[in-house]
Amino acid sequence: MNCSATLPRETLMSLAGQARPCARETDLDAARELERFLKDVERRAFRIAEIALRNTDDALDVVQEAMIQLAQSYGARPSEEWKPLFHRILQNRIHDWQRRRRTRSRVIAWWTGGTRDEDDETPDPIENAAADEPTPATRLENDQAMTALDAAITRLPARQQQAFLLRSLEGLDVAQTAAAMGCSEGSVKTHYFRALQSLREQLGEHWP
Amino acid sequence: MSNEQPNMTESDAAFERRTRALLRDSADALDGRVRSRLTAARHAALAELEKRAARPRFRVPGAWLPAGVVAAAAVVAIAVWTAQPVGGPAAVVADATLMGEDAEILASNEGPDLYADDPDFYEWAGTDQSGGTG
Repeated sequence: MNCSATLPRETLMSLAGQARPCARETDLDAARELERFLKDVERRAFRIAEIALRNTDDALDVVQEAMIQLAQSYGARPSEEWKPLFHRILQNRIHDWQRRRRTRSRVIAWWTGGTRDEDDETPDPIENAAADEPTPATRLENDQAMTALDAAITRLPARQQQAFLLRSLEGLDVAQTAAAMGCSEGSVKTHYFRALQSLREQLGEHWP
Repeated sequence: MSNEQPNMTESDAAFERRTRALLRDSADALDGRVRSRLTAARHAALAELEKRAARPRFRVPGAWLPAGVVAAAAVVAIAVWTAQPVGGPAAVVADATLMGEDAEILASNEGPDLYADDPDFYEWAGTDQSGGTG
């Protein structure tokens, strides 16, 4: 894979223009490595954020913030450390976003005297439509299953949801999930197992 | 992954595989607008890396600053300690006395003519000190 072809042109030109040859090589390698990492992780990270926040634009903002913070704070760290670090940042950002949203909702409710609930926001089916379509029958079945699964994951307690998504969607092992969640490995196992049980109960036997 | 959960049944494992496949498919099938935004986000992150790379490299990282201060203090302490005369305070006092005598001689009106009065004595004194035989 020619990684340099996928890097932003300005970044490559700027890095290539550095004065020190050794430093330039290191910077280019780091940029390529980070590009590769982010490209690999970005879609799943977006889905994690989208399920947690139930809003496409908020999820995109959170993922971008997490990417930038990783580059700023940990870009020089070995690439094998990036995954748990990135997900730790992402989870913190999601948590901050949810807290801000709750505060905003309370203020709006107090100000208007109404009972506006952001949970009522329904996703736009056109906006969320899949781009790469499988066969129609499979697509229909998968869409129904995914819709039900999305709703069920949304109803999980926050920690169970985190453990489930980090392990199932992102594929982190127990230790990496514990690092990303800032808890013990035992807690991860418990949260994950309970999440699975809860999802099975919610989805029932008729889940396609 | 299933092996790490001791209470998981085969049915749980099948459910887990199904949910994982669905979630991954949903991540792979994002619409064009989202993919485009993610690409832009990635480029913004790489631009941050570029900014960081452009900063001077000789800055002392904050974490090393206390260690640097301690090392500098240790070097100064060793330099001061080794600069002190051997023998401690008594030797310092003796040296000070000798310096005082020298100053007294230099300040007196007696010049080099003093040594010219009895050169044999001084020659003998010099021989005695170096030879040590009396």
